[in-house]
Order: sequence, then C-alpha cells, then structure tokens
Amino acid sequence: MVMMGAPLSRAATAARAAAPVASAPASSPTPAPAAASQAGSDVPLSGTGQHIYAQMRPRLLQVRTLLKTQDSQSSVGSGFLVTEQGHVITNYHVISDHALRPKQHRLVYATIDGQQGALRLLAFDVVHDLALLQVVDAKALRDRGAVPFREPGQAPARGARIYSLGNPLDVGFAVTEGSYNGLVERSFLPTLFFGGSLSAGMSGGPAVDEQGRLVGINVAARRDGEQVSYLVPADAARALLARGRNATPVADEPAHAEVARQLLEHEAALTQAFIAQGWRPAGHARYRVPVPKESFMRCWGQGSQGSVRGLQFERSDCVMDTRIFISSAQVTGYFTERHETYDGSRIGALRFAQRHSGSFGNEPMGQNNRWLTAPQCVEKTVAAQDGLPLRAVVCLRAHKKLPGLHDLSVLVATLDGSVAGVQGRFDAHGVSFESAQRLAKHYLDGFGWTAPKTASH
Amino acid sequence: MDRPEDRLALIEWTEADGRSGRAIDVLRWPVTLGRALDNTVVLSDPHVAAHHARIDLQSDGSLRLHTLASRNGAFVNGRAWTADTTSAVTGSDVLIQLGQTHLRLRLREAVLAPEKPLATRGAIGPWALAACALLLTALLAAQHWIGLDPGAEFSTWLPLLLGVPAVLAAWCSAWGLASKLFQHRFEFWRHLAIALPGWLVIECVDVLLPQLAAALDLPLLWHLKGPIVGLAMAWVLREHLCAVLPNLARGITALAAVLLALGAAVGWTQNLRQHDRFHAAPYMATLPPPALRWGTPEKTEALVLGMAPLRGVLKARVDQAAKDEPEDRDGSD
Repeated sequence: MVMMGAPLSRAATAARAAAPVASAPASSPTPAPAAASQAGSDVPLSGTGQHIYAQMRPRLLQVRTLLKTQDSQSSVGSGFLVTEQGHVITNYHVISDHALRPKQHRLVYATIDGQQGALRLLAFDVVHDLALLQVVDAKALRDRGAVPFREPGQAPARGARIYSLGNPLDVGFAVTEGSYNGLVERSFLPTLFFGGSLSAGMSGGPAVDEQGRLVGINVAARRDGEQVSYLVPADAARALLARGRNATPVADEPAHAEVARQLLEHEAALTQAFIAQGWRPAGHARYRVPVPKESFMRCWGQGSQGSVRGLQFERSDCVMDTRIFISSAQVTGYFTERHETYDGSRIGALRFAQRHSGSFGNEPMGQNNRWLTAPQCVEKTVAAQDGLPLRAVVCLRAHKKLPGLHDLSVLVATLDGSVAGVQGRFDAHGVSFESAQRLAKHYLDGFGWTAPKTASH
Repeated sequence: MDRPEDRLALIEWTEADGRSGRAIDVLRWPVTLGRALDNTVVLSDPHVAAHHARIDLQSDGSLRLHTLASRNGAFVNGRAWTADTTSAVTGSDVLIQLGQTHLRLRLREAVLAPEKPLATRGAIGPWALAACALLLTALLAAQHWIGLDPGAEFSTWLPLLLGVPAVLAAWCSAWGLASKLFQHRFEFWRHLAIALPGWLVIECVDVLLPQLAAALDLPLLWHLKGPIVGLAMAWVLREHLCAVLPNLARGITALAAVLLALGAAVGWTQNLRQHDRFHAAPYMATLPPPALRWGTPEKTEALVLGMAPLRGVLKARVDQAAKDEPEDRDGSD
C-alpha cells in the first residue's frame, strides 16, 4: 500500500514493448505506467514552456552509464550543466553503477543536438541522491551557459508553475509542466512535491521556475498516484557543487567507503531525531506499545479479517518514506515499526498460546546474501521497566560492502497474558552498531502496562 | 525315510535367506557331488563340474571334503577353496557352495541349537500397542483441536480421522509386503508395533520439546528438536528394515547411521552457508504460556549488553566476505 517513489533513471520495458533502448531491469517493483510519457504532450505547453525549453536546451544532457566491455547502457538518466566549466548535476542513482563498480562502468553524456563525450565523477551525496560530474573535455560544452540556482532559502510560491526537463524513457528530451507544492510532508529529508509527471529517464534533470532558475532536481515519482513526483531541493545541489567543484575526480576505486561514511552521518541524525521524538501511545487498554510519532513516518492500521470466532487482532504498520538508494539491489537508511495486538478471549488459553507462538515464529530475519551477512541474534526473556515480562529477540546483520553499517531487527512479544498479548517488530536499516544498541533499548523501553498490574494476569 | 536310524547326514538346498528347499538323506559315505548323473548328489547347475566334490569318511571317523578338478572351486563355510583341496569338515552345519548352488550338510552327531521363539508379535504387546494408539490419537486430536477456531465444521476433522489410520495402514502394509518378500510372512502387526511407538515418540518430541524449552528458556534445547526427530526417524527405519532382513541387522544399523550422518551433514552445511549457524531458525519461536514460564526475566539492559559480542562476530563475517569476493571481481556475474 505504501511505497516510496520509484527512482526515475531506468525505463521499465515491461510497460513499453517498443523501447529496447533504456533496457536496464526496473529498479523498483512499480513499473512506469505506459502512458507516463504522454503527460508532456497531453498538457499544451504555455508560451513560457517553449521559452524555458529553448533556454535550457543547450544545458540539458542525457547521462548514460555504460558497461565498459560491451558499451551497452546499464542506466540512463538526465543531467544539466551548472557551471561554464562543464560541471554537471544528476542523481546519484543514475551513476551508482559507476560509483560502486568503476572498473565495469563508464559515464558518457549526450546533448540534444547529438554531441557526445565522457564524464567523470567528482563527488556525490548519496543521502540526497545527487552526484556532481564533470565533462572530461571541458572545451566541448563551453558557451552553452549553465542552469542558474534560485536564491538560497527562497522557495517559489505554492502553486507556482515549474518546469521539469529530462529525457523520459530515452524517448527524447521533454519539458513537463507542473506545480510547485512545497515540501513533501512527513519526509525525514527535505523533498519537494512536484505536481507533474516524471518518468523513468528524467532522473537528474532540472526542475526550474518560470525564469529558468533551478528549483529542484527530478528524483522520483509515485506510481500509485497521478502527478505525484519528487524533487531534491536545489540547496542540496548547491552544497554539493560548492563542496565538489574543485575536487579531484573520484579515483577508479569503488566508492563504498564514502557511501558508508555518508550513510553513517545520515543514520546518526536520524537515530538522534527518532529517539528524541519519543513514542506515542497505541491506545491499547492493557499494554503500552511503542508506536513512532508520525513526524517522518506513516502508520497504517488493519483489523482482523478472519473469523469472528477466531483470534482478534489489530495491526499497525509504520514506515518511512525516506529511503536511501545505494544500488539497484539495495535501499537503506530507514526505520519501520510494526505491531499486532491480540485478543484471544474467544478462543481460550490453549489456542491463544499456539497462535501467539505461531505469530512470533514466522518473522523472517533474512539470510546470508551478497550484501548482508546472515543475522546474528540474541534472545532473552526480559522485564520491561514496569515489570511486564517480554520475550525479546535482537538480530543484527552487517553490510558486507558498507563498513560500519548494520541492519537491526528487534522482535518483542508480551508473556504476561494467557489470552491477550502484543507482538512488535522494529527494523532499522543501515545504522551503526552503537545506534543499533540505542534503538533496541529505546524500543524495548517503549513496552509496558498502561496501568500497573500483577504479572499473574 | 523309512528308517531314520540309517540317516548319516542330510544335504539340503538352501535359499539366500537361510531357508532350506530340497533335501537328500545320506545313507552311506562317500558322497560325490557334480553335474554328471553318476554322482550321489546330482547338481544341474551349469557352473558345477561333472565331478565337483567328494565327501569321504576317514578311518578315524572324521569326514573330509575333497574338491575335484573344477574351474570354480567351492566355498565352504564362506571360505574359498580352489580345486583339489582336501580338508576336514566339522561343526554342526557345513555350508557348501558349488557353482551357484548353496548346500547345507547336517551331520547326525552335530549338537542342535535351541529352538528360537517366533518373532511375529513384535517388540511390544497388544496392550502397549493399544495404549500407544490411544496416546497418539489423543496427541494428534489435541493438536488439531488447538489449530481450529471454536465452532469449526465437523468436516475439518475428516482428514485426521481418515488420514491417520490410512497413513499408518499404508505404511505398515508396505513394510508387510517387504516382509512377505524376504521372510515369507506378511508381518503387518510387527511393523505396526514399530511404526506406532515411533510416531508417538516423534510426535511427543515435536509437540512437547519446544514447550519445555520455552518454559525453561533454553533455546539450545529448542533447536535440538530437528536432530532428535531425525534420530527417531532413523531408528524407526532401522527397526523396520531389521524386521524385514534380520540377518543383516549390523549392516542396517550402519546404513541408518550413515543416512543420519549424511542428512545432518547436508542440512548443517546448508544452514551454515545460508544462516551462519547449524539451525535454520534464527531464534526460539515458541512462547511460554504465563503458567509455564519458569525462568526469571532479566533487565532489558542485559539484552542490549548481550548484543556487544555480535559486533566482533559480524566484523569477522564481513572480513571473510571481503576475502571471498574481492572488489575487482565484483560485478563479474
């Protein structure tokens, strides 16, 4: 039901039989809708749109990540010139294959008028999904100008027309008109809500105001809605440019260590903010259950749908919209919390015990794979601060390529009730070991009784 | 045989399972064996020579077996004799193999082994068997009942009511047929006396061990369920096979042990590769009901502190992975 925006760098061929070019496998389970690219043509462009397109045309690039051995493209996105020295901004997820496996992938650009050349990676901001590239032969794209930034901190008015540019689905360069809707609500990282269509392949392209100044960078779109698209605020690109414009190009070494460093910085801030905000009550009569405040998470509830004679339960799922793209196989940097409250008064103690155990037992913890180790778990029967007995399992997996990052899972079940109980699970993806310990403690401390009770019932 | 007192010895044709077929009385020595019709014992076996062996009475009263000119020689009590060998034959039963013919020479003076009891009844008596059946039924029914929501349709009981007897009957009939093949008896009840207690033991371990482990807060015991059930299954298999082929009991025990070891090795290797531990389940999944929770809960800090050793373990796994898949080979797939 809840999905993050799908990154836009890759076209989904499943929806477009006639598009063999942008043929990398879709990185998100949500395929781009077949009609997505029509939006640009359905909506008649205003005169401003024509003006914007003419102004931006020389500064727009298609950024391709090619497999070195066979020159076939592994990922296609858009980018744009931000300096006269050939500095190009695009999304990190457009060039992640090159950043993580530079020996296998190289970067090239293509302009609208058909000019092509090589690009090199100067710096990236994996958290905001941005990358700073530079044209290797700086002379090649001179005299094309640069996309100017808006004044820092000055957002367009809500509802203002903005224009997103890029090369959707590798079909051809396009300008898409939409509205500026401010920040996406309940997002941990500042993300702009663009009321327009973005398609795969437009990732990394600029979204500009009517004066042609940069508002944000195309990054993702929601596939479960219409014209709900996300932009990275221009300020993040400005900061990346300031930090990286004079950097020496990233060597031909995989950038895992730098990715991990940025992710650790992000998770430290996220953990800090998450613990600081505390829990909100779940509204259960008997138990205090830790449920995240919805400042940067969304929670969805669900009641028992089974037989009225069976176990009655209520379920709550809290997820973060903000997730950090590492590679097409991995996203991280987010927390989820889920719990179920059970009322077994209609089935009796024996049956309740069986259902309680059954539910506790079917929690997957993952297994050894290319990116993560097998989980290492500790388990104990513990007493919450007010004495509520809990069975608690803490599992940790380490990221094999990203030093210092772990995935934490905490599984908790109450043990005091013979016909009632709560089970909760908290997951933190991409956190340091210290944060994992703090979060585990924080989650366990969220459990208790609503009013002091004796352990007998 | 009109006059049993004239019988000096008996030569029997034996089958692979030790049963005897045709028999010939020996009324005088020597006895000659071979394919030619002038032998005392005529063996119509193409792997037997015309005059293959002779048994003589010595002057001192002992018997000697001579193998005559033959290509295949003989096996006497399992030992190979080449052609033209002479040796005394003693003992109660002498097993002689000429060509593909198995013979047993029984001597009049031999001491008889005591009578063996019939083994058709099986390891346990009918009352114990009935008790096992009752217990197993109760256990399965209780499990089924717990799995159902209150007020479930009667039809949900049919798989249990019909399935369990059908499965048991089919299982024991299959083994009974195997017994019929090798022991010439359809030993249904004997196999039932193996299968029923075996199933009961497996069911008890399956149901009760996790509860016990949860009550005592012993995850290690909980993870032992799989190996214990495997052991019980190997034991049941061994018992069935031994009932079918009692002469091969030692080989069957070895086979069951090898199968068990092989299964354990495959399972453990798989688990170590995927889960980095011997068992697949990451944690003890059974929760103790309040009345059966015998341990004392610890503080939450203890669990958080208990995470500390994981750091080094995970670090080692990451280092190992880096060694196994160096960066430059990354993406070769």
